[in-house]
Amino acid sequence: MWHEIMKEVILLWSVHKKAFWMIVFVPILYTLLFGSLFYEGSLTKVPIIIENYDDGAQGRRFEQAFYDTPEFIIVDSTAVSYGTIIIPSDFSKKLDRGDSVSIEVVIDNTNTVIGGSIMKSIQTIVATYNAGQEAMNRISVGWTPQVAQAEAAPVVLSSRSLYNSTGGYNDFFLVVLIVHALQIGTVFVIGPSMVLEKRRRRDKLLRHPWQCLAAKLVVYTAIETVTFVVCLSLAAIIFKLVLHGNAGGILSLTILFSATMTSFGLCAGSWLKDPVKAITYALFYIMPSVLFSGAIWPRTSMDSISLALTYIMPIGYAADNMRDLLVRGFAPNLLVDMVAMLMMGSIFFLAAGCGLKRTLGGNDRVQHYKAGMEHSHP
Amino acid sequence: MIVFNIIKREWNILIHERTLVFIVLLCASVAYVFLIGNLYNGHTVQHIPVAVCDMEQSSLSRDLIHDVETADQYELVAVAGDETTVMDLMDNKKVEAILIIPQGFSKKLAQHEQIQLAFISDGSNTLHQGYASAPMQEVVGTFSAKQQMFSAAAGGAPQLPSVPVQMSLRIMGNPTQSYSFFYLYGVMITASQIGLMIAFALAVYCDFRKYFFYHHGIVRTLVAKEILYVGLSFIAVLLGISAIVSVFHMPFEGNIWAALFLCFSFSYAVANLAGIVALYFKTKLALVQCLVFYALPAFLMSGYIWPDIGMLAPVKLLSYMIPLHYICMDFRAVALTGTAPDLWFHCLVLHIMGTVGLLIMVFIMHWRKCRTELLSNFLSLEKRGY
Repeated sequence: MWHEIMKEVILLWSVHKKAFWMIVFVPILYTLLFGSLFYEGSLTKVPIIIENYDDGAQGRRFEQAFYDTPEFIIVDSTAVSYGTIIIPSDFSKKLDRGDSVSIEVVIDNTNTVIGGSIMKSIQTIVATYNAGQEAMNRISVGWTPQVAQAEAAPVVLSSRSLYNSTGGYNDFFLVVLIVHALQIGTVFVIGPSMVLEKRRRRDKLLRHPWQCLAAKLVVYTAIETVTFVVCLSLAAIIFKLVLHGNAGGILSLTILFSATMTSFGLCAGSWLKDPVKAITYALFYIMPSVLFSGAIWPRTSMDSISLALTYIMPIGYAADNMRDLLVRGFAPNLLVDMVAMLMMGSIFFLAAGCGLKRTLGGNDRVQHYKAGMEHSHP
Repeated sequence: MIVFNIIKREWNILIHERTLVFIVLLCASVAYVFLIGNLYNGHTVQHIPVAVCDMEQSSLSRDLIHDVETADQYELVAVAGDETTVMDLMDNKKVEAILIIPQGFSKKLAQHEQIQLAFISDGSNTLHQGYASAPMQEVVGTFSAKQQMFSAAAGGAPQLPSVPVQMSLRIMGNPTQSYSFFYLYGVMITASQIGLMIAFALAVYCDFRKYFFYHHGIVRTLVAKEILYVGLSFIAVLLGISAIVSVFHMPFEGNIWAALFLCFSFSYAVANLAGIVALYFKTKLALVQCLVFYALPAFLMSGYIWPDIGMLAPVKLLSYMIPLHYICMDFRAVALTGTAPDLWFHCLVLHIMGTVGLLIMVFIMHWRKCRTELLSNFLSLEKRGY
């Protein structure tokens, strides 16, 4: 076996050099690209318009609150903006009288990331302004400041978000994308390489199919694991990705996921005869897999069909757990999901062996048949 | 007539020799619409598992728990008297959020003291956390207003407006924060892009290697190929839009012709860019690998999900070079709000991209043709002994 592994390494360096670099560089490139994409973490300086028709002090103070928020940049009405706040002409007058006043807020929510960010910031500004105003109103009618404050909002909600308190996109999304990048690099490279290998080393593969596959599995899994570690290190150093989990858990999950995806690639390559088809078929898995991983859209909000799909995709057992390990420090479902992934990987590996035997053996039978025909009709 | 014959030949190749590519080209967008549309069928995250830690266990705290229980977005998993139990539930991912009602809740309310309720959410999934906190704020806000009213009535306090500044909120485009509205159009276009790129690039690659372009005219062959592939991609997008609107009942508010023209411009640009890539690669495998590796970064960096106002300058620059940047947001805006201010400008940019791509392709092919002819002339001269 050791001999086979060494042979595979030599083969990788001599024949599949491009495949090796692709497996290594695609995840690293994706990590750098996506890390830079979400580098800012949250949206700031979102352009909005303020139309202040009030010339009183209250209106000016209210408007100033928007200028003071880093989330917004106030632009004039001709510029591109994602929201408009209209302060009516009687804003100060009504507030000074102790009446309610309504402001118009129009938000462009076609991109919910922008719309949500605007809404959250406006609600915070308005709530803060209201709390102060309510307390002032009550003090002005003779309440004590303490009671006035309590009566303005008897029950308040103090929110605290654990694990990713800033809601940064890097901690939420980048890990999932790195895991996805790893499987993209693996599946789109190993599948076609296996198809080509069947043409080049047909006899060898026919004689020792399981040994050859096992050697490939070991070598490629090792490369992918090292690549993933490099990606994580880059993400942690450059993009400040949090690494709370223990190295053992992260490494075990990475090795298992890499082995499963390698088996998947080997399986595709063993059954198919055209390298391009090995990519085209894999596309059907790769493209939707990240959305069905359960790491973005939660499983609790999926219907039974989508839920079933998440359980047949290897990434469904890896992405959420990996993020839990990194961001939360532990993953409660890790063990169960690793067992499921191990079973899945074993099935892919067995299927790869069967596929190899069938495709190569099938060709062999045809060759024997042709040879036999030539013998009988010289 | 020659163009028609080339189209016919190309069609036969696509149907008989590249059947899988043909299926991807025509059906990928519809397939993704069904997959992703079904995934986000609930539009927003619902049934968020929450737990309440009720340290007081009074009738007032039970009222609040009832309010949490009846909120549409929540699924109340457990009510416990101590914090450790609910924190364990969160650690084991059984709940996504916890509401803690402190001791002395009713007493403090009766004494006109302000009470702070703690709301702890699991922030590891930002999307989930965002959806979890908004309904709780609403529940507590309503509860607070109710208590304020009771308190004012009981104490005979002067009537004051409970909320001095009210917001009259108008949300354009996606008022329900639906994830399907947000995602589906872009995913459909991205899927159509993959199909078109692979199909067109393979068509150019194979015929370029077989000198087909030189025998039948470079421009003529390219035009014929583009008519077929851009046409098929156009049909794929039409099927995708039909599926989105008819099956998933999503709105299409804008002018369909404007949206289709945008799609045409996009397909034209993408096909020509794929054509240039096809001329570069020496093997079919490397070509297809390059195209599939391009798909994910192109989608994420187009600004469709993470907007360009939140990007660093170099990333923004990269985003401007991707054709998807000029279609995805505009297409969604046309569909959801009816207008996209930069639509025609973006169409122009895509047409410029496509035309430049086409010219580069023609130039490279022509240059290779001249080089080949020169080489063959040289070899024939050499054979003759000159």
